[in-house]
Amino acid sequence: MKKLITILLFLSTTLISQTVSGYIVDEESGATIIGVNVIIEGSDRGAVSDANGFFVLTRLTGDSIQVRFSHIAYAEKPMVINLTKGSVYLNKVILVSKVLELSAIDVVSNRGSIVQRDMDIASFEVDPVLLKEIPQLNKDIYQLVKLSPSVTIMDEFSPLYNVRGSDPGENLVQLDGMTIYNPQQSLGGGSLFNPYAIKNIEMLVGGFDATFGGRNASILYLTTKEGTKGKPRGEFKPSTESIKGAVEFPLGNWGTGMVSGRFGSSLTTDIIFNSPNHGYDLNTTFLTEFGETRLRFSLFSNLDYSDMNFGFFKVFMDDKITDKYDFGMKNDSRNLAVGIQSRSILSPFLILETHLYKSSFRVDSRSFMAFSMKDTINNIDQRLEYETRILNLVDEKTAKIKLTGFLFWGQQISLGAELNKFSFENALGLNQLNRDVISHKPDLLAWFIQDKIEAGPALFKFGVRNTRLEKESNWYNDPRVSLALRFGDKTFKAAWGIYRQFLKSMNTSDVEANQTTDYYFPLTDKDPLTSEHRIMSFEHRISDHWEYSISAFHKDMSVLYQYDYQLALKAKSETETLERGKGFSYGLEGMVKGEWNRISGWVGYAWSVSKRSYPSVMGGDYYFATGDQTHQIKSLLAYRINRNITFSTIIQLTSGYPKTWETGVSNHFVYNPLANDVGIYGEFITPVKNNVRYPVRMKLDLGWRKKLRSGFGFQLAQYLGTDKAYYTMKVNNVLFLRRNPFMYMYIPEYGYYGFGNFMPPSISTGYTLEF
Amino acid sequence: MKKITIIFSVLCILSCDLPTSPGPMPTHIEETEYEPGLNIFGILRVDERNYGTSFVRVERAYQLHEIELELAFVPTIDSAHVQIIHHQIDTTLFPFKYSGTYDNENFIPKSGESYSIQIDNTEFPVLKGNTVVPIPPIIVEDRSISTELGLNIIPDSSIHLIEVYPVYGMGIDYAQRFTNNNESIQYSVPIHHEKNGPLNRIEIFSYDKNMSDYLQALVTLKPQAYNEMVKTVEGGYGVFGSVVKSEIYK
Repeated sequence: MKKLITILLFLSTTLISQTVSGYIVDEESGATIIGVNVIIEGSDRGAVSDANGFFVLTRLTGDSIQVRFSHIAYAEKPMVINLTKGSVYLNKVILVSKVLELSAIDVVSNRGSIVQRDMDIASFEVDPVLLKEIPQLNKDIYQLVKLSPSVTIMDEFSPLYNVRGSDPGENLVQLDGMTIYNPQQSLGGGSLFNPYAIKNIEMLVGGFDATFGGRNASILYLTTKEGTKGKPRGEFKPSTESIKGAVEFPLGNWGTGMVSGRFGSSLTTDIIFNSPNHGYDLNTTFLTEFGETRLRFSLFSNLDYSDMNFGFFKVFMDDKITDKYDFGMKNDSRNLAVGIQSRSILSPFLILETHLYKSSFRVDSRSFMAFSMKDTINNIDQRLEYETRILNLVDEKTAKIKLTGFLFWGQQISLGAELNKFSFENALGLNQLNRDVISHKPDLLAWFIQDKIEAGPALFKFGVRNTRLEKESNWYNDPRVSLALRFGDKTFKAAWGIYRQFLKSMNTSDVEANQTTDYYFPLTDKDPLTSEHRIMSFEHRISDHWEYSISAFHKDMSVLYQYDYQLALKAKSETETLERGKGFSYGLEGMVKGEWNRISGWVGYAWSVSKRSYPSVMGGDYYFATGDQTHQIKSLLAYRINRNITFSTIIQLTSGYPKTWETGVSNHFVYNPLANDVGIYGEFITPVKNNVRYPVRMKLDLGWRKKLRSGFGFQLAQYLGTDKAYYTMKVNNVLFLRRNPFMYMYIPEYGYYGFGNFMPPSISTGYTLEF
Repeated sequence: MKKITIIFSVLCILSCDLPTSPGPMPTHIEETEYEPGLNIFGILRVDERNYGTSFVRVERAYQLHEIELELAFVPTIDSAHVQIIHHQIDTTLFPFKYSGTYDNENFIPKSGESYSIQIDNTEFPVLKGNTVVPIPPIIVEDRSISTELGLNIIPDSSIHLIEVYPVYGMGIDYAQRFTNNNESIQYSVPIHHEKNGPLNRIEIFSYDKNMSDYLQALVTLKPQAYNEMVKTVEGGYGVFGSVVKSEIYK
């Protein structure tokens, strides 16, 4: 390895090819533009600007090249670049926006690129503008993410999701490169990110390269807006239950800034359910530059508090039957992430990136249920006293550095290192028993090297990521390789890699009314979670408006741990808290995306299988993983009725969840030592895990968005001096007569009855002003 | 547009489930055999009384459809032969008392001794279990602070779980639970409770391993969720264990 590095460093100083690089920015705001096609005229080569609005053209020959900058929302810009003096750094390529009324149809279909996107084999990239254009997404990033065919869910009401058969705790969410733990609300499960603040959403669902670490299954990478150099712009949306606002503004010579925030408190929930609740989230970004260095300061903070108490239902019960009834959930969670990123162009072919950040998450979650009911027939009380309480703290201080060089043969070599100083605290409670706080303060150190070579139609990328959790532990070397072969409009891609994760989240889905949170715990003194990804895909761009892709994947999860609440609570020592197991998943995914007449959008299909094996469950036999959904059809389609009105649909047809069907009931006894008597409640006998498949889930949501050009709404917008006004309407849960059961209850004289969403379609309208 | 309308209409019609119907049922059911068996709660109790307070509650496990077959569904078993065996020699019969409950007022277990249970019933497999009755903890009171009573509880290794109940004049405060980590337990109780009045006494219950495991078992309340059932007996379901009561500040 040392020899390889020496040779690469030597070559990098001697055999450097011509490159052209630079940022692409909007003329009015000065903001960088993502997804601009940079096409070398007379060839099929080019580049696409990345999440920083940065592009690099490599393997350039001759005295000059002619390039064209192209983006759906901007006027095309041709440029001749002189290469007689060697590589060129353009600093800023300024594009002028078109007088174009972008609608959902354009956004959905044209976000792709004419030049093939790099070689990310398994990515799901969508424009955050969709969150505004498609009202039935409820401006929730998670709802958008869950429309990827790679994503399955295990619970209708939980924000947690599974990617290609992995567990929810193996998903990473990063905001401006900072890891954000559990960025979801406890009520409703929506994400904590204000969509206005988000500039780009990209999700890698496997086969990611050596520069990424931390999680094994997926990386949801969000980039915030960095402000404007023009006049301030933003949005403000007050309602009866929340206030949302965002503003981008210039800071003179200092740079640009963006502040966005939301505050909400559901009065309905508070009054009807006697459940106080409130929450806020705040996003702040400042961007400044000096010389060839850009500095981005990011801050994210949130508070989510809810105290749901259903004890008031007792008023509907007969006091002669029910002595006691208390049921509820309380959640208090907080996030704070603050960081500073730098990106320095040391030369046209050398980029240095650094990142310092701190991210913390703290939650206190309590579920309780208590009832006592007289059973005169059996002369014994039906009695239950039940309470779980989980305290979890994750604190991460991270320093990252990465050096990228663009060398001979169009090579792109990246070298980097990352240090995470963690602090974890976990405390579990059951009824009146509170376990001590378990603290860990491990340091995670990682370094990586990666080389990407472009040769003719082939792109080849190989790298290795080395990680260790603590000084005393072993270094783990994770090799990762990927290949892309381009033949005109067709691209064949393949990837293989080893992935390790040093954190494990606890499963509480069976003991909490609804698990909304991943409770993290470090894998100190244990082998890390290990997955081996094998992926192949074929992509074909049929025309400028149509493309499809087919992917096959196999994931071998050779090291998994079962860390559930029961096991963690009963353990006498930490070594007993985790049970080692294994699993695998495989599947096929296909997606068609594009525009046909007035319809645009995507339709995706996935067939997949995911299984697990743990010694304590059925003697180690394999069973379906909890998030396994064999078939999935998901689509988002927009139909342009006229230039002002867009109609959109979201259709989801998916296999049901694997669940455990009980064979019988054995009463569980609750002992009262003071009275020396017992009470009972029914406990299900479940010898086999996940032995049934729930029925197919069907979901249809409709939405309309209209740009106002007349009438009161339009006149109000003009009076307020805003640029645009929109009217939106959505009808969620159109197929409300479809039960989509999430549980079955046995009713004597009736049999099993499926409980699903009986709520009638929710119809809501909105009015948005943009300035 | 017409095609789309037709597709949506067909989808809506196909997806209808009226609330009066049970709804779509699960598919691909992997049938699993139900194992019948007795389900018991048997506790041997040592306290200050001069008569036996130990008892055994005997029920049976059942299948859900049985509930509708019998109008008054009663899972209790009143015809079991319940025996407590001391040192594998002395056998004490617990006769049926009422509604699935069996006891014997002449039976007083001894701390530190081991006991077995055997329950025979012609319809179910023989149920067996063992317990070692815990040795009471050493409790040291600390009255140096006038407003509270300090407790230093030194548990024996035979104790696995301790529950402390402060009993006040007008009510009982929540019990505090402690697992035995082979360390003394420090705990303070207010002498006067804001809501429940003056402290009358403190009752401390020390459980054996079986009871400790069973009382701490976390039971999944959700239907169709895999449940790792805790049982400490062979040939059936439930628990057979023991408890020792201590009382202070009387």
